[in-house]
Amino acid sequence: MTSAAGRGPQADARAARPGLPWLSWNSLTTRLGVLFAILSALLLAVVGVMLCHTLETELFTRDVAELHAKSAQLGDALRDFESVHALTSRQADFFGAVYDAQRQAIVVADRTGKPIVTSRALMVPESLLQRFAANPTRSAEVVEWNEHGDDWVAVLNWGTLGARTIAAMTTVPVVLVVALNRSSTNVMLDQFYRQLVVMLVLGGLITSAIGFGVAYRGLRPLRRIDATASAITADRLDERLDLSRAPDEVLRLGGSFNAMLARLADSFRRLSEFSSDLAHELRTPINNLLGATHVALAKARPPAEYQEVLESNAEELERLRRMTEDMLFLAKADDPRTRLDWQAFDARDEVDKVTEYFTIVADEKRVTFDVAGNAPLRADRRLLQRALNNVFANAVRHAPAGTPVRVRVAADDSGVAIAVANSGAGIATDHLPRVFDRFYRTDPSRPDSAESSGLGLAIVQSIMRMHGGVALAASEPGGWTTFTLRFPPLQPAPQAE
Amino acid sequence: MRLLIVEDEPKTGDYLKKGLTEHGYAVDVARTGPDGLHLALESDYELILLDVMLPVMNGWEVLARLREKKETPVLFLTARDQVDDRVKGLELGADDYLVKPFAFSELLARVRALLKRGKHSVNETLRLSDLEIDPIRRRVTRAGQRMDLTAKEYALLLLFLRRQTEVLSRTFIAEQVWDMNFDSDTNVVDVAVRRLRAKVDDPFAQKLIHAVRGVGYVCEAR
Repeated sequence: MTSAAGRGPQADARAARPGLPWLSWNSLTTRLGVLFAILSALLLAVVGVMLCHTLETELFTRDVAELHAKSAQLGDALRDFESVHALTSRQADFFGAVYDAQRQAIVVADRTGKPIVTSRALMVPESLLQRFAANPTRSAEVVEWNEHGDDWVAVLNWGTLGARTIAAMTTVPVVLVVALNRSSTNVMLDQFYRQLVVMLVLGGLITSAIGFGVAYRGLRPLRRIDATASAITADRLDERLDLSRAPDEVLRLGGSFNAMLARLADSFRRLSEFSSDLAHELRTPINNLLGATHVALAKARPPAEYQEVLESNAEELERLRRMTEDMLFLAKADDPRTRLDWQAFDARDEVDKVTEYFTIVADEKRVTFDVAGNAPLRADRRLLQRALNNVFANAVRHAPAGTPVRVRVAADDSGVAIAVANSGAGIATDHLPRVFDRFYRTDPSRPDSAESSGLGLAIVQSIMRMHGGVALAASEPGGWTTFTLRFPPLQPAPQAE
Repeated sequence: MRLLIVEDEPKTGDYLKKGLTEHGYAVDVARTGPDGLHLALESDYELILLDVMLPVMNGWEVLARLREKKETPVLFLTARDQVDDRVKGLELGADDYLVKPFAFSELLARVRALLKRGKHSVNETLRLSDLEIDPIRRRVTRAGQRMDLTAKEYALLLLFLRRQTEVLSRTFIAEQVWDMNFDSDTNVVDVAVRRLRAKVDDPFAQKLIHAVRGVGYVCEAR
């Protein structure tokens, strides 16, 4: 009943999911894939930025080193010119040796920063020149500026005119500026950056795709679980997950899943057995009722015969009524919302009461009771009474005439135990685990239904479970058969109302 | 004694009416909640038997509306043996309840108990034919002859005399005499009654305790 009710919402949730479940944000594959993509993009970006920075610095350092070298070379050349005039008149000689007109520019300025010769129409910003010239102790200063969209870098140095010629009487200090147009370098760098970005984006896309792929592949065991779970129906409860190749994480989940399936299969088996047993149990009295009534109605009869039929029917109906009452009780016991009326008392009190109740029947069979022990107990009195009643009825029914039924009440660390034992044939070992099953009878050929509904011991077990305890059966063939009601040591506190 | 049955299930209503009429009650039957409420408010009944599951207006509502105006005793009948149901019914002012399926003798016993409530004297001497019980001295005599009964036999006989002419079910007897509040898988009641009859009836020509096959036992002078 529960499973049928639960199927509806589950199917709804499934239908609400998109066709490709791994494309929704709720999908682990999506999350892992996106996470992988973000991480790889971040990593590539960091690598790219560092790469650009290193390249840029390296290129700059090289350019500056080249400028320094050139500056030293030109500074040396300056010493060959004895005066400013000599320099201006023979500037082609000066520039000629070392001049790369495409990229380089050379300016020689006087000590006030005013240019004397320039290799091309390059204007080193005067402020820069003047600032350098203002301090004669400076040397090898690197400056950068932008002119008409071109990026320039220059090395400023003090040089001396005429230091090498004997003709020159005096030396003239001048400012030597060696400049380099870096625009082409920057264009190259820009190109590099663009390529890098394209590669990063491509790389990011490829790694995300790989990430998705890996996640999708890695989660395949989960989809297998899903497929298996969807395939499970009431008649295929023996289906199990194949965990032979499952990774550790999924192994545990799959293990729990398989264990759950095993439990469900067992419950389901019991339930369906119960239903068929129930139908069978109902069929006998209904058959009797129907048959007796039909036969009675087939012809006119004296009132005494009708009365006879009605009396017989009443007995059958009484059986049916008790069976439904017992089944309702079991259903109620299974309902976790059922509340117990917890009371504290001595277990012996209830045992004595039930013993007294059974003394009359026991006398008839010349069966005696041997009761001993005391134990403080917290339980639902009426339910305990009912459980004891069923266990006593069972013991008295199976005890041979002239033997005692031994009842022991005891409390120890493991809780309170009430044991009811009778001698006699006993219960075969293979029947023992199932004696508490509903409608279970050790001898199927002898339904014994006049006395027992077949639910008595099942009710005992239900009552013990409601108390957090358990009912146990033990039997030595030809010796004592003992039913023990075991209550847990810490009785649950009464529910606060 | 006028009774009202509010029950929508036709067969249940019919057999209740028949059974109660044969036991000397004047019985009206209403098939829906509003009809039942109308009848209950218009006329004076000694007792109302109210089914919980009713069309249009359920038993709870009928009971709540009735209690706004009248204090007629109500015995409610429910198919669901849930503690919540009982508590709800009793809170709403019902006087007793019975869970379906119930034995008719059980119903009759409860109806009588409700009708007699408060009118019964515990200590008066009970008599049936030449059998006499003096509850104060716990003395049982038949034809002037003192009877020696065990405590449970005495309790059983007392129950039979207090409820003479009523058919008592085994469950009811077990509940009243042994305080066993459920159906038991034993024939304890049968054995106990047999032993009581051996003392009270067997030596005498007139039998007072009779088995009603399929139902239980009745104590009456036939």
